[in-house]
Amino acid sequence: MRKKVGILAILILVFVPLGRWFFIEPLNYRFFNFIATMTSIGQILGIVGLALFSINLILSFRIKIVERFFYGLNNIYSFHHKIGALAFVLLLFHPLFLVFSYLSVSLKSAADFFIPFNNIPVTYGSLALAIMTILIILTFYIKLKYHTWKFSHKFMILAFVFALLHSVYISSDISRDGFLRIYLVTLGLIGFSFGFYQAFLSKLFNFNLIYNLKKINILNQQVVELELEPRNRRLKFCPGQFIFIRFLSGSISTESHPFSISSGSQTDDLKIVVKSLGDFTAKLKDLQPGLPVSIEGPYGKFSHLNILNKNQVWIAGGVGITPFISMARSLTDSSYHIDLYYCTNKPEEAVLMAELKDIEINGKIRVIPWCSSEKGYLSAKIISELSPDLKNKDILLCGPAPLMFGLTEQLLKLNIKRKNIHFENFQLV
Amino acid sequence: MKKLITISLFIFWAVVVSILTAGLVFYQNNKNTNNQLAGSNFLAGAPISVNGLPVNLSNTSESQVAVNQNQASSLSLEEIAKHNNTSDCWLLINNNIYNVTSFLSAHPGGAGTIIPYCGKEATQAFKTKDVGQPHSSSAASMLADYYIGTLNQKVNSIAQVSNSKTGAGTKINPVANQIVNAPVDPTTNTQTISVALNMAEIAKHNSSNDCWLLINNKVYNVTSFIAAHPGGSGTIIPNCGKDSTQAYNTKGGNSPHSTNANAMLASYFIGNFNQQTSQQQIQQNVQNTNTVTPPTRGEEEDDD
Repeated sequence: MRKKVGILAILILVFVPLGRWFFIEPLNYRFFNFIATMTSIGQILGIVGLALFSINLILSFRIKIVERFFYGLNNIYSFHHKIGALAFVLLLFHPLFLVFSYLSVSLKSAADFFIPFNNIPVTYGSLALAIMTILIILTFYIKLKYHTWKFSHKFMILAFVFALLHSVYISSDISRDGFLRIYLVTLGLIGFSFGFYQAFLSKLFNFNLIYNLKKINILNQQVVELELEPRNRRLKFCPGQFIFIRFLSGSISTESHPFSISSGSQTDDLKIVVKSLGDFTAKLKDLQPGLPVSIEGPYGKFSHLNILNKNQVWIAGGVGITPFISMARSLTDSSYHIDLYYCTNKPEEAVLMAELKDIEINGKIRVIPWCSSEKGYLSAKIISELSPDLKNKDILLCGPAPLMFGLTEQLLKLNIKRKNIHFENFQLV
Repeated sequence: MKKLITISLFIFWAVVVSILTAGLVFYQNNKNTNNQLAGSNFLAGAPISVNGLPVNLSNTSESQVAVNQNQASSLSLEEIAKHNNTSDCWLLINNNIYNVTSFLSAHPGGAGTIIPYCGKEATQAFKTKDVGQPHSSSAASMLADYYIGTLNQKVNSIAQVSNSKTGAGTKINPVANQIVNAPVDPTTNTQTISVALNMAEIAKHNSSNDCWLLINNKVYNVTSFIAAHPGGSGTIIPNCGKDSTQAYNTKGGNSPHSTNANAMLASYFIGNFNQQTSQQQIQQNVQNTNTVTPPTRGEEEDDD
């Protein structure tokens, strides 16, 4: 329900300028023939695209209040991803619809329209689109290292500045209508400030807790567990949540990276489990203890504590076990009945299995290791056989996207209600 | 989402690349066609302009002929006010009347900004776009393509004036027809008379109805262009019949004309200074310039 508040807010922010646009001029002027209709569609695309672009910058800002409206930061990022793609597509079609009016004059003037530097406001728009195109390609088609990508993505602010300049200087409804201009410029400036702060200034101001790197436990060739101890105050969190960590010195990138917490919520020390996927995570195991670390968070709504039903099935894929380890370590209430499926390719990849087995012996949860190399992929049918009465249980999933979405599909086919399926898509973060 | 982006990027670049390619090919073809026309139909030295923007008749000379023949109607404010809708839209800007009906939907600022001014005085609106920003010089030259007459000008038929513009931007009238339809000069006898393009001859053409300029030792008959001059007719008229090289090079201040303007000027060329020519040839050149509107973008003509 609260998730819908966020969506509603986005829709309102987009429909206000759109609604205004419909009342600036009589609609029979806007749509009196084919060319005029195309031009009008082009203008609508521009206005909606710009509003969505502004909103997306606001969404890039990590703030707890906004998180509440979207039920978790990763939901926000999931929205950010979709809205960004949508805004880009709308803005890409914006000039394509406007070119009809030039085509009706001549092919030459249409060609001139696409040649930069003929007209300054149009050039601002072309530059914005060019920068966006490059950054979108880097996001969607080229797999960059996380911090390289994150750095590249900051230039979206530059694209946005050009887009805003284009909208202010071009002769259009925005330049003629005071309300539309003030609205879009205000929304744009809010978006710009939020985005600019998040991209460039958030590093300079540290409002976050400081921990020291205490110990690095190598769990297997690819996975390490970092233990962090608080310098002063300790972080309060709900098991299953994640944090952004940023090393304040040392031979490692000072960009912040998101990780799920693996320690229990009662202990002072924080633990995170990291699988080396890229440059940054590979370097972690070579770090020296004692390094100061900034901890930002906690974020996320993925926790057994946020679900009323105490009969739960947890399904982890690989390093997706992390939030479940935190939940298992925090479990004190004996009224929970939990089956934990731990899926890996090979048995040796199942890190922290010994600790989970300890917890199992205490009778809190039942751990079901599942190695796909031995038993094939885990299916919803197997789950329903091993965990009877599945319909009355809530299911929590965390792992690679194919595993989560594949299982969700299968579970829905078994008439499990969507509201009883919860997942943490850590790859989007 | 990725699929949507892939498809959109593909469509975007396909459209942009094809319009740019088509624009370039069209531009080249136009240039060739016009060069051929210049070689076959016209006397050497008669420049034909290449254009990206619509080519259409500049009606000035016909209207002026009409004035002499039959002063039946007048382009009065009452007459203008009749043309006040999307299917028939006249604008009065700086006392010039433009039939912009065919341009409405092509207006980059949207048709809706023009429509309220149809049949009305729109000088201020054109000058400020209603927001205090002026139109560009290319907008002013586009507007010139839609010129049909000046306020209170006498014409023999409103319909003729009006219709001559409704096809603006869509077709080029065959040059041959123009010559056939061209008004017969009552002074036919003088056509073979030899004329020297000297200062004395140039000085005779010193009015807004007959305006020659001497610029860089070349003589131009800009009569039909005066009304279309983006800088306003008032800046040209005082120079009619004179050596205007300095005025042209500095625009009366210190900013030179653009290459675009140079190309436009070239289409009004009638001969070199002190060249011997004939009335007929001048007449022919005048007709040629009247059949083609100014080019819009730096296409230099071979003047000599």
